[in-house]
Amino acid sequence: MNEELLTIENLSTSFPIAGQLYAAVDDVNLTVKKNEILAIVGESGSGKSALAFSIMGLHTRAQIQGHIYYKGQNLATMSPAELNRLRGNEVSMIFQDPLSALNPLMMIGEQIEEVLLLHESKSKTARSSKGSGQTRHSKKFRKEQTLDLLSQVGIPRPEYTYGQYPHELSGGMRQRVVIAMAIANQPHLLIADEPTTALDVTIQLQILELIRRLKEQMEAGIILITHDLGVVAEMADRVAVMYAGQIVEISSIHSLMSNAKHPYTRSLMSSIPTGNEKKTKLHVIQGVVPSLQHLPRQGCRFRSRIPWIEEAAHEADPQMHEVEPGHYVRCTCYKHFHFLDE
Amino acid sequence: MWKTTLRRFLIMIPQIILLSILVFMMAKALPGDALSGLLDPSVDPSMIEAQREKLGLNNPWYVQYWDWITKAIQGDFGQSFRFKMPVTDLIGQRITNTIWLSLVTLIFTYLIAIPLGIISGRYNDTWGDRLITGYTYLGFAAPLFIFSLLMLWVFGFHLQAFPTEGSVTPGLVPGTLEYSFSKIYHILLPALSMALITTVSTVQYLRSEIIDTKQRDFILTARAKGASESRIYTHHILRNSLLPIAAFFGYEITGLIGGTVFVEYIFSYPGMGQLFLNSIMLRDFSVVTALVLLYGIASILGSLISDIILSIVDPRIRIK
Repeated sequence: MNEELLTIENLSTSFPIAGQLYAAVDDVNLTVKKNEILAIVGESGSGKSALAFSIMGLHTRAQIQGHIYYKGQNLATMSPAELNRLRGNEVSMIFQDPLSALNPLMMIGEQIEEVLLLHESKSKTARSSKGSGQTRHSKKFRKEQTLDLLSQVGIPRPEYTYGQYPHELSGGMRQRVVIAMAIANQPHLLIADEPTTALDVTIQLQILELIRRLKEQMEAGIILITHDLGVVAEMADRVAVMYAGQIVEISSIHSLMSNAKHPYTRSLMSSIPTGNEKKTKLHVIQGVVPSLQHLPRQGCRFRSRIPWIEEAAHEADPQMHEVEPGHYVRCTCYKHFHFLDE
Repeated sequence: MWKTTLRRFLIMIPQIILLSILVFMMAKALPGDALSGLLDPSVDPSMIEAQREKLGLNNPWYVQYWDWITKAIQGDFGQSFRFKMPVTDLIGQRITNTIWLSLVTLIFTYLIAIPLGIISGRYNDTWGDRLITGYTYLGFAAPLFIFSLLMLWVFGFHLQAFPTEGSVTPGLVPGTLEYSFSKIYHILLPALSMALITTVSTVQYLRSEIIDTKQRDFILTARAKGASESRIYTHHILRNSLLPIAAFFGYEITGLIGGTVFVEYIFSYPGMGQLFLNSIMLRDFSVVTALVLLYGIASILGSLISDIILSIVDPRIRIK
């Protein structure tokens, strides 16, 4: 069951700005196993989405270095045609904003059918045991599959929704449609890029439940990108914390929740309002994630946001240190870290 | 869709009524009428006054308007003072010429705009794009009447490849194949001259729309589905980018009216535009009013067609 689905080695994704390359993802290493949810956490601008887009090959201008092995094949060097055979088929993605992720001029049904149509040969082999007597490539068959998918993601009237247009659906319903598209060909690897950010809290829970249920059914590996630590605690098996393009801490969810090490992780965790201590002030991390052009490329990148920690605590070239089996932390500053009011 | 069309159609009626009142008032506000100026100065002023009274030119404007509009609805726009024939007959001879010229111009406009816009938008910031954008700037800068004169001089006069006046070679019998060919032959040069200039705004529009749509989120969704680049263009980008072009159609018709007025005059093409300019100069009030009304109705119809096309391609503006 612990089969490695995705192995990312030394991945750097750089964007050209005014003739110079700046790395938004900087030397990232991680793995995703089958039937596991890996959460990637970080503030806006920490490179989470840039990482996801690199895996899917969705960047148009970026320069990608390093390896992205999916079942042994390097996605980073694949031709667009090879990539298109995997995308939407074995590897798929759920986008952040369901309001803009659907084509406004196409019926819901057509949009889901498109992904089935594009990967028809695969569904033929995968479903060869089922649907005897059916012509596999028929429109009717695709429509049945689509209606089935719509009801799988909890859309109440699939027949009716099939003929609707995106603007006729609520945000939650549209996200269900986006999810239906992502799972249409039963992917082995699913990347969910902040799937609940644009939705209100009650719908968030339903969508997360749905993703978890689908994981159990399909035994897929899931990368869940979020900035919501509550979601992480609910859903994840393992967590990678990203800051300024680097992974600063990676561990199992239990180890992280009980024993977070990196100053950034600890700051994030103490920034969650708990609700039972009304008088105490909410923790705020000083400053913001530096923009791509102004990232410190040397030393600990979090240094500028914890200025009260002495320089000597940081490593000159911060490395990952294993603090517990499977729990890695970048830089030595975690040993000396304390909050300002402690 | 039928509901939208019907509703849109009903809105048109008050628009046209308002237009007809405005046109009439404006024509009345112009100084002078058909009886002033050209008449022999030795004619007794009381005779002229009697003639005015007889023609109803001294009635209050609403009476004159009512007389005019009730007849106009029955297809009677009165007599042309100068040509001494019913306005309806006068326009009727020329309206088909103008409609054909406009139609051919429209076809040329889109034949040029769509491929150029697509190339320019899809491969933006390449040499091809720069070349096309350069052409559009030239088109924006060049006045239509100067460009038409240039075309007339080069292709009509110098190379003698096209006829320089009229809408058909004299002496041909209407209805014969030769007659139709001659008609088309006479239309080509003025239509091409106009299309080459008016198409540039559509090219620019389509280009920026494609560049815009390329960056929309649902294009990422399509890529993540595994759709090939060509499929992304045909199924997702183009349809969305053509929406504003459809919306632009009504405006295109208005531009065409302005264009035909100049081009017909320059190419001595017997259409409504040429008649319009002549009638203004001769103060032929009944012809001008009828033509302005027709032009107004044409632009209202243009925007109606725009809206109908939009409601077919864009589900968001259909009324449920």
